[in-house]
Amino acid sequence: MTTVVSVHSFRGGTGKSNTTANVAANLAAAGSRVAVIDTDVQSPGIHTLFGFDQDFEHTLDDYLWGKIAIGDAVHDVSELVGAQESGGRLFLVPSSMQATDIARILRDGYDVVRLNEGFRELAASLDLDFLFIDTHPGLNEETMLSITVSDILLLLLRPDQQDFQGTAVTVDIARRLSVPDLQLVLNKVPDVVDLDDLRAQMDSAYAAPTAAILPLSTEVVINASGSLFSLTHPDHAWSQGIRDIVGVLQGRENAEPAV
Amino acid sequence: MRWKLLAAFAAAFTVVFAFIAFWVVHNASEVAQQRLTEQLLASAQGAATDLPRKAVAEVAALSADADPSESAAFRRLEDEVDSVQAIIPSISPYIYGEEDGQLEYLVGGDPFRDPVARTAPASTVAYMQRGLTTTTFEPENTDEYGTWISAYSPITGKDGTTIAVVGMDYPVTYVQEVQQLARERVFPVLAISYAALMLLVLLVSTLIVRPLRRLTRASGRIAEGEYDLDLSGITRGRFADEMSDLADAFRIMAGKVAARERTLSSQVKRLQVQIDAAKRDRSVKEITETDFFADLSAKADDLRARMHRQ
Repeated sequence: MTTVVSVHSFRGGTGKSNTTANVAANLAAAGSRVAVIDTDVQSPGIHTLFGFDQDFEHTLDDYLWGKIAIGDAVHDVSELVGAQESGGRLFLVPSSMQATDIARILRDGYDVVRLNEGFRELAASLDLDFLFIDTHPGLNEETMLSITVSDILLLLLRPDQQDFQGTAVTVDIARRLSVPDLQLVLNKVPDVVDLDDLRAQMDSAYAAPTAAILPLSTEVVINASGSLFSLTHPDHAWSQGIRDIVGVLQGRENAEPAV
Repeated sequence: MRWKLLAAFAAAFTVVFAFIAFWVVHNASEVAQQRLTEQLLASAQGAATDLPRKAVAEVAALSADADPSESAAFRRLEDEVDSVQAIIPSISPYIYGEEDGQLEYLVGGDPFRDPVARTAPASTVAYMQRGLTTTTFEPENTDEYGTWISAYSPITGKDGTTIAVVGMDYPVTYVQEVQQLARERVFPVLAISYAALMLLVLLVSTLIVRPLRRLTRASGRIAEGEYDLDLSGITRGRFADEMSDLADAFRIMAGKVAARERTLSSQVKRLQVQIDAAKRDRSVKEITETDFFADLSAKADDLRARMHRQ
């Protein structure tokens, strides 16, 4: 059974794509079959983390317009993260980077029902353990649909007031949509912060567990989405935080298998 | 650091001063010995020239069994020898000659016609033999009477043949006395200079170490988060030096660290998780009141179930 993980944040710039790619890569390297689908069709970006900088022949956009089957947009990147050795696989479904495609999506929107069907087909045809949905920031119809169909919602936020406030709204919405599991991930936290105190404040403010607190790191910033930082710098504190999230996801998968 | 400096300088000074002391004493005795040698040779040569040849020839001709005190020439030579000793009391002058290839004392030294070889060692006899032909110096030599330096100078007749030889012994204790004197003069001076230099090193090292200790204490306080450092007296005063530069740099660093910490702690304050409940409820209401949301929440469970139906 596939565990569907939506990765979302109230605002942009929380490191959503970077965190998604690193968590997915770690799970695949540990032997899971994982797919990442970039539903941020308005501002795609996760493909650069897997080393792609040219246009794809087939993208999620083509599928949403009914040009192709969802399977045609799947790119196998298992080799990039060394997943085969452990029996794991990593697939990427990118969004189009072409300006005309993005303009069309913005103008016409797309069929959210078809998107949902795509998720389902993907999970079944690739026999996935995990399906990661990298969402567009903010609460629009598409992201709410992604949140609704997910078993776990990973909510990323930065330690600032706007994110604290906006995340509270998202948490409320997710609860009303009966999302089974909600995990918070605090990213870009300066190292001068008292982490225990912050974690306690988060617990009481959201009544939801915090899967990881990732440090604000110049090294991660300098890496600038150029590669999968947690694989190239496994001893870094940020990479340890990524493994904390991986641990939570693996634990949940083992403890309560999705029905 | 102070004791390390002191130990290092003490070691260096000890080597240098030991060398100076050795050199002074050695040089003084060397000069003294050279002077003595020249003086002794000159005295022996002078006596050989000045002694009346006629009297010397007469005494040299006396037979072994004769009583020399009955000879006027012998008595005269004894007076001459005594007068030389009266002028330079430490010198022991004597006259010896050769008889049948054997050296014998004539005036002074051992009794008349006593063989030189009876009391003198073979090496000394060899030097005295050489004295028959030319003025000779013999360095330090020891016989049963003591340790000496000696000079031998031939007394020649009108025809150039040697009639007898003037010998002069000088006790080497004089050289030892000169060395002793040099030691007595030089050593106190060296000891005082040595002590003065050590005090100077102690003073200089204290001047260096004291501000360093204060900076060490100050850095300990910075580690504890206290930034109001009292570095008065070692920061730049009227006379700037490397130490005051260091203290200045230290003070500036402490100020900057303090400023940075203030900035950071103010950032930490902004990390308070504060949520405006009324505003949140308004935002949530705006979303949940839409038709899309009503539709979605009604179908939510069904959508999730369909997701897992494969």
